[in-house]
Amino acid sequence: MTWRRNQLLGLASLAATSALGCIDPDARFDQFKDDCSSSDAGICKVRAALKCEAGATFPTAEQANGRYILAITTNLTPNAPMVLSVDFTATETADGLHISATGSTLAYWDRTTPVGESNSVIVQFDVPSSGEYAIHVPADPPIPADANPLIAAPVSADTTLSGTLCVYGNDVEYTSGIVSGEMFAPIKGNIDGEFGLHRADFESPTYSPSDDVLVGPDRRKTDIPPKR
Amino acid sequence: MRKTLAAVAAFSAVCSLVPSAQASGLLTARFGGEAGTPLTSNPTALYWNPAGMGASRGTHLYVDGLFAYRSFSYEHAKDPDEPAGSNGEVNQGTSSFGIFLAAPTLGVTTQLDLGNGPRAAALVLGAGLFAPFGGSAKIERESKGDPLYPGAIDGPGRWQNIEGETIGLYLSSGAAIDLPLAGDSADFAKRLRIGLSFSGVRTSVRTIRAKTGSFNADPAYEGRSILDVSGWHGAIGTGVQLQLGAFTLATSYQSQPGFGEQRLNGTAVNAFSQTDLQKKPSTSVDLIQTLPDVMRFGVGWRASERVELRLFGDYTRWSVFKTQCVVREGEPCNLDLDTGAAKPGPSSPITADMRRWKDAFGLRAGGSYFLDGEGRRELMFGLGWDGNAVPDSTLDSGEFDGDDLTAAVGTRLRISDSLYLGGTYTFYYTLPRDNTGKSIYTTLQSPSRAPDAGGKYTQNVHFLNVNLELVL
Repeated sequence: MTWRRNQLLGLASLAATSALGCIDPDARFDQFKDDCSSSDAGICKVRAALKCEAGATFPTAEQANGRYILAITTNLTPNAPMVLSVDFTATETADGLHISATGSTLAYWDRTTPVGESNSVIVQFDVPSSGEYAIHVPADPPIPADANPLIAAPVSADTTLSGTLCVYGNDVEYTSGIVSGEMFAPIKGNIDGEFGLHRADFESPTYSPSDDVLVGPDRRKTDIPPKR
Repeated sequence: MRKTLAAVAAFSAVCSLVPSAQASGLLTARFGGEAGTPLTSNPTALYWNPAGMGASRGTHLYVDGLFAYRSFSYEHAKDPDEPAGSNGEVNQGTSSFGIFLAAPTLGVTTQLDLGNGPRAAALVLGAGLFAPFGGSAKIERESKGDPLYPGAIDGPGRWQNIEGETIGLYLSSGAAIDLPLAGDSADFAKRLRIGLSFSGVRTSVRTIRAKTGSFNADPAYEGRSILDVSGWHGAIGTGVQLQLGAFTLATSYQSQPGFGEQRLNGTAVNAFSQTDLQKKPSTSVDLIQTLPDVMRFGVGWRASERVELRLFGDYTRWSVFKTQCVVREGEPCNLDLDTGAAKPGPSSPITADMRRWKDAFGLRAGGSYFLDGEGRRELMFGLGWDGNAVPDSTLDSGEFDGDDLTAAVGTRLRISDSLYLGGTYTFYYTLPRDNTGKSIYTTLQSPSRAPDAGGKYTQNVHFLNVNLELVL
């Protein structure tokens, strides 16, 4: 078969394609993206971090210190967050706060049992007096499988939690924001989502794994998956 | 060779294929129309039964165009996997489409004498291009979208398929030998024909469907997942024909593409987030699957000078089609086929579609009436049944099958000394299926878990074959 015949065959094929119900997954993908751009729901909406409202002030170090429940939902687990207990130790700086956070991951099935190594979560970040912060959480160490509500595999993801820190009363009670980053394991891909940071102590007798684990600006409660 | 392969790839760009599920499962071979059987001697015998080529004399050039219109509907009730609080109505309703499809076939055979005289042994060589595996579907967008759940405009079947096609294209060559047996004569033919073919099989899969990162049907978090993979594998075909006077017995075997598990390479896009929708990240992946081998048989009886009757069928070993496993490029499919969960190990599949198909059987009866004694004008007819390969538990709108009833009428006319024009119209009616409450997808573990595919399915297909055969 000559080169010219090959080309003619290809052209004939393409000509036929235009007349028939051809498959074009990329075009269908773009249609969805376009439809999504005019929607404000689900993965289509651009999530907003909780903004400080009137009456809020920037917290002192003492107001920020303490233990919190950090709940992170992503597009992969929108209704079942990974839950961590974190302890903030804040020091005041010339332009805000410097916060060291240590903590542990909690089991996805009861949000009470520490799993993985204690104090495996160690990050430090600065919060300027504007209150806007970005916490970079590196992929290592990974979140243990028992804290992963989706599948029985450790999660390794390079993520950034972005939000605004403010106080309405005596202490920082709640802050939320958006999650963005890249997951490396168990699957690769970009992730985004929301988080909530709620002042609560998982070792306290008053702690409620359903009421104290909150996500997003609307303080949304989430499902507690059964143990695998 | 590279140019030839490029031509094959271009050839496959004709938005084929024939609808899925004809002749069981994804086996869609309809080329040749009513003459496409293991008894045939035209160049399509290279696929149906290479031994059949042995009965041809001279050189034959064959072109077949298969045109089809497939209509399909899937009606889905409330999804039991629907997360609490979400709007389940957007997953209910009917997905449907009607789609025109086309698939070309090319073939050539030429005979070499192995002796003297009209009844001497003969060797026939052949080459061809066939598209026996495949299917296409393109779900229509609904007329009005839901502002909260924009993905729902692609219908309730979007979780299994929005647009997709699977194509198996065979670039084949082969040979057949036609041997006279003791007692062979002009009055009573006794011939044994044995054939063998080798094929390069290009298998490709292109699909887009809705998916969430949680493998459920939550419309608030649905994104889109594209898979685009292809690969070349080898296959062989072999067959035997025994002619005893007015009777011809035939059997053939077409191996699995790749002789077992095949790995198709390409890319996947999984966009489950706003970021991914914008970036459309592409990952190099392999699709690992196993396609079946096919055994065929047939009996032909030339009852009189004007009448020929045929009975033929196929047995397709679809039970090997257990899953379609998408893994990162080069990784194995570590999957527990019972639970659908990833096996412990350094790698896990990105996603897997549980199939668990079963072997399927098809049977057709047909005949020809020759309007004259010289074979210049032939009328053909046929009735058939193609069995179902897909159990209720894994039936979905992406890979649909059912019990099919078929009826065909056709003709073959000699329009000059060396040119024949043929055509066959075939109607496929698939008995409606209802697997409501029987889909197991929501009971599987990730990465095999998927939205419920229970519902009511209907399908019918109109085929029109038009072919030209030049005999030199």
